[in-house]
Amino acid sequence: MNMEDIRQTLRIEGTPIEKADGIWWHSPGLEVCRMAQVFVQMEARLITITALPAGEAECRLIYHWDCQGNLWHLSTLTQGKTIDSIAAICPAADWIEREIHDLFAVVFKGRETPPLVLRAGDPGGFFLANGHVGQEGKK
Amino acid sequence: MSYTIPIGPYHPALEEPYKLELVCEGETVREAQLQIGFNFRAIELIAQSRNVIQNIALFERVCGICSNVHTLTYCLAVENLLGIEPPLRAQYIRVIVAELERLHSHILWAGAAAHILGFQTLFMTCFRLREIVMDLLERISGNRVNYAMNAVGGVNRDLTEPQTIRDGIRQIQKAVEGLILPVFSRDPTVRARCAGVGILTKSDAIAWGVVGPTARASGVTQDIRQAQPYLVYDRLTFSVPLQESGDVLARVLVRAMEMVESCQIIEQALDQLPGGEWKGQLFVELPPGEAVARIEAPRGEVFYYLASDGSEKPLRVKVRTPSFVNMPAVRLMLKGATLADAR
Repeated sequence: MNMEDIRQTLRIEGTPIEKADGIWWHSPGLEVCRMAQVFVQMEARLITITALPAGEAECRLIYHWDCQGNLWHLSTLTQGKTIDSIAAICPAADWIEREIHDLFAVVFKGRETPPLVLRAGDPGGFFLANGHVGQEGKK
Repeated sequence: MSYTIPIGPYHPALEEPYKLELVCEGETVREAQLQIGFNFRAIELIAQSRNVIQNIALFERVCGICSNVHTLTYCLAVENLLGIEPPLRAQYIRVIVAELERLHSHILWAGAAAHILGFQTLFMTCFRLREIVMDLLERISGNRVNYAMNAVGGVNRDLTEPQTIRDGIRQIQKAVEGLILPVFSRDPTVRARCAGVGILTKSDAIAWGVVGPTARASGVTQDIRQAQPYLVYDRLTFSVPLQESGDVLARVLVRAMEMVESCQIIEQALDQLPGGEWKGQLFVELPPGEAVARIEAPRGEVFYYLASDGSEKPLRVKVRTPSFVNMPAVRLMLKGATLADAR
């Protein structure tokens, strides 16, 4: 599957940027479940998902895939700090999504996210998300 | 009737602080749950409050055994963002230190495996060999744990005693080929304890994104040094050991064979080591943008993401260690195992 096929299959907007460290593609409306299906079908490996704050309320999620040695970085934005889970399609996402939930309070639709890197009872989104400053004091 | 046995987070048989909850029926493990986070240090958050140079020292502390690979991957990410390449001599030195660290990690792992098997002679042999590697790393860097070798755009120290390294490596290769490899591949006690135990199938390894020797022991051909060569690995000849059975024996053998490959990589790198510049440069600020880097660490792929807004402190650094993706697969390895093997 070439880049144009992927663009059509995933209905991605935006223009991919090819750099030495892979292909970067940002699409705010990316359907992440469809993306996971396509990449799993291509026998790509999910390396990880990077989350970073986008404005005060949302997060940008970057899905890093290794497709036969080539790196793809597809990113999108959460909506209301929520996004579909891909863990059912790609089991490798299980711990990654739980970690992001712990650190950024992103809700992954369609799955439970028990605490992973934080201990049970700690508030999620405690460390890295915007708008969660000061929760340490509430503990 | 099933019962649950908690193991950890602090237990003599665990090398790291995690907790296993084994649901058993009789002597058989039916389900296993893992809990981590007991030593969560929020390093990614701390990195956002330090500058580019200070972060090198911070990331050296992500892992006690693989301290070098973390600074190396971080420096590669910074170099990708800056669009610079270190001098050739520095790249060779980085390869030599990285392979010495792989030897250190694999020898330690082999020793720990021998200890858990109750094979104390082999445990002592491995730890004697480990001393040789640590001595070599100390001769190069002045330190036995945190080597502080990597700088943005180069290395902090030159390699001045190639023959000492060559002599040490030859001792290690002789011991690995003459003792460790034969014991792990032929000894009846090792086979009885490891063959057919803790199987991770190839399809599970792929689905769960398992990396490194753990993946290669399940038949997944994946080594970043060959798949997407970095530094000067494309100038060096080496093979990637592969096993198909996915059991503990396969994981032991892959690592043992990788030790021999690492010795040969170091010999080649010493032969090819060019003269010239090796020092890094002083960068205070990063340009705005984002970059990633990944390398083949002893336990598998290490991946760093770096974002900058143009100031001296990074906007975000994401660290993905190999153990983070390999650990969930332990649950699959334990299903159906006997309780004695699980411990």
